[in-house]
Amino acid sequence: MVDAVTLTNVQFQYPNADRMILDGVSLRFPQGEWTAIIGRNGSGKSTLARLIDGLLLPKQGQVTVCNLPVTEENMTRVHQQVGIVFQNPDNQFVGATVADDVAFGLENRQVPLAKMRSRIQQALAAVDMTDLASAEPTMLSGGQKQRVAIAGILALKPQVIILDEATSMLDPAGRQLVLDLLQRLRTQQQYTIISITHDPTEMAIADRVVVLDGGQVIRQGDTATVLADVDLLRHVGVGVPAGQALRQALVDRGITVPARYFTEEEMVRWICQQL
Amino acid sequence: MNNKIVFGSYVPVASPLHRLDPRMKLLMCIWYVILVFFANSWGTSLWLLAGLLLAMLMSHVSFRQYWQGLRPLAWVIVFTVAFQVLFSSGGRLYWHWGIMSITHDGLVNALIIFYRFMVIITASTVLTATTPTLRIADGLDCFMRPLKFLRVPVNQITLMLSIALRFIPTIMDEAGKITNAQRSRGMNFHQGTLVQRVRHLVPVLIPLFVNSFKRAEDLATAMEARGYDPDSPRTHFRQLHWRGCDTMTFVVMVLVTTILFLIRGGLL
Ligand SMILES: Nc1ncnc2c1ncn2[C@@H]1O[C@H](COP(=O)(O)OP(=O)(O)OP(=O)(O)O)[C@@H](O)[C@H]1O
Ligand SMILES: [Mg+2]
Repeated sequence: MVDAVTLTNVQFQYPNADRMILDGVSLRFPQGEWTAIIGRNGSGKSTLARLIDGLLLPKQGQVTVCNLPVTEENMTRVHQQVGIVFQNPDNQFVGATVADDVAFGLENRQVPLAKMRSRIQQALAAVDMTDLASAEPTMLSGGQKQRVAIAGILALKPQVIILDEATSMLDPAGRQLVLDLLQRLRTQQQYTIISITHDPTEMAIADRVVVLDGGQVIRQGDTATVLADVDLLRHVGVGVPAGQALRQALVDRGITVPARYFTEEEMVRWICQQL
Repeated sequence: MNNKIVFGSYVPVASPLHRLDPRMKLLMCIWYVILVFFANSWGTSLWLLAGLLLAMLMSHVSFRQYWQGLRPLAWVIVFTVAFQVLFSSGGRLYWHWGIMSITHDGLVNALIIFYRFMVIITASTVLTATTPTLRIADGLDCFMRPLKFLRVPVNQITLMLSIALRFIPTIMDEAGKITNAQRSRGMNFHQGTLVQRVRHLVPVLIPLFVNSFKRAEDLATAMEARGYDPDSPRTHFRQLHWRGCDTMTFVVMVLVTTILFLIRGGLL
């Protein structure tokens, strides 16, 4: 499989900070797959996202996006391939209104007005914000701003979509809407999705999971394998998906449950069979 | 909160004036301010006032709302007028005490200044009440376009302006939050001498500045990530449309000007 994003032995340190934030990180993000990045606060997840988009350049090592080395010269093209939804929805709202904000990226790419309209409409419909197209940012809640930020990236149709805790403020229905949308995008197999998350449901949907801790990748692999390791999840302080938590509770009570990964669905089915 | 306007804020109602092109409204406002300085008699002044009243009626914003918008400036106007009345001289003397005196010319000057003040401020309030700030920025962008040939970075300036305008309410919100946070820690902003009160603002202003810098940095990163390059051309989503009613307004403006000069020249 082709890799959309690769990092080779990347080291990164913020200027005038004494600590290495990422130290020898090597990762591959296969094209068309959904990878979740998890890890405790301050483990360098957002920094990793910025390195992929070239917003920060590594001290050592190499980053490539769609076979393009991420360097100063390639920056424009890298930004065109990668779309990031940042953690703080307030600080990425550029436009005067919702529609203006979604238009911002399109204007930068010199998309003609006629095309812009339909793309903005589609993107807003995808996050269920059509009614608020002419609302001003002060009138929006945090979750609504996150939806706008997601729409702004969807309108650009980048190859790689990075969501940095982009659903953290959404209500359960809104989160489900965005997750369903991402799943639909995944089935089209054109988009490579990287989602940074603390939400167990969101990580369980991903194809692969990468665990960051202390500036290093301490585990990566397909979702079932990584999330089956409840001790690891507890160690890095992230939430345990419902199915796994249930399995662990049964094991702790001395019931023998097969040692494999269970989604919530599968766990319920397994218990029903035992009854 | 909803039907109360502060000076310069937009009142979202539907009116013929709201629908006009911002360029036309901007032009009209600037031109009106220039005309006010040509009014030199009761006739000319009343004629311009009538024009302003017509615009206010057509804006579908109530006089009460305009008054609420003007009220914060009332003290400035009262002070200036009082200063004119008491400290200018010439003509018949009605009253005097020390260096202060009330004279005929002083009263006339005060009246002229009062008229100009009120009319100019009201005219600009009509503009801001009927045009969102961002549309005004768009209009300015259009007027400044010729400056591009002088290598003035017009696009950057207007984008900067519109982002600054967009963040004013956000920063105001934040100031409110920080004030509340300090209050919940027992800070009392309404007590003490003036010096103490000013000193109490420091723990509000410092976090406000720090946050604003952080915000600006984040925003710059987000803009870069979405492909913003100050040196590249961009297309524009918000377009200005000059329509028939704008041309009509322009004609009305020319008429008003002509009649003004006819009255001034004693021909009417
Ligand atoms: N601009 C900066 N300058 C210096 N240090 C920074 C800067 N931004 C982040 N850091 C430090 O880098 C480390 C990693 O930050 P990062 O934002 O990547 O963490 P994160 O994994 O995204 O955390 P969270 O889950 O809270 O979002 C933190 O210890 C932080 O203090
Ligand atoms: Mg982060």
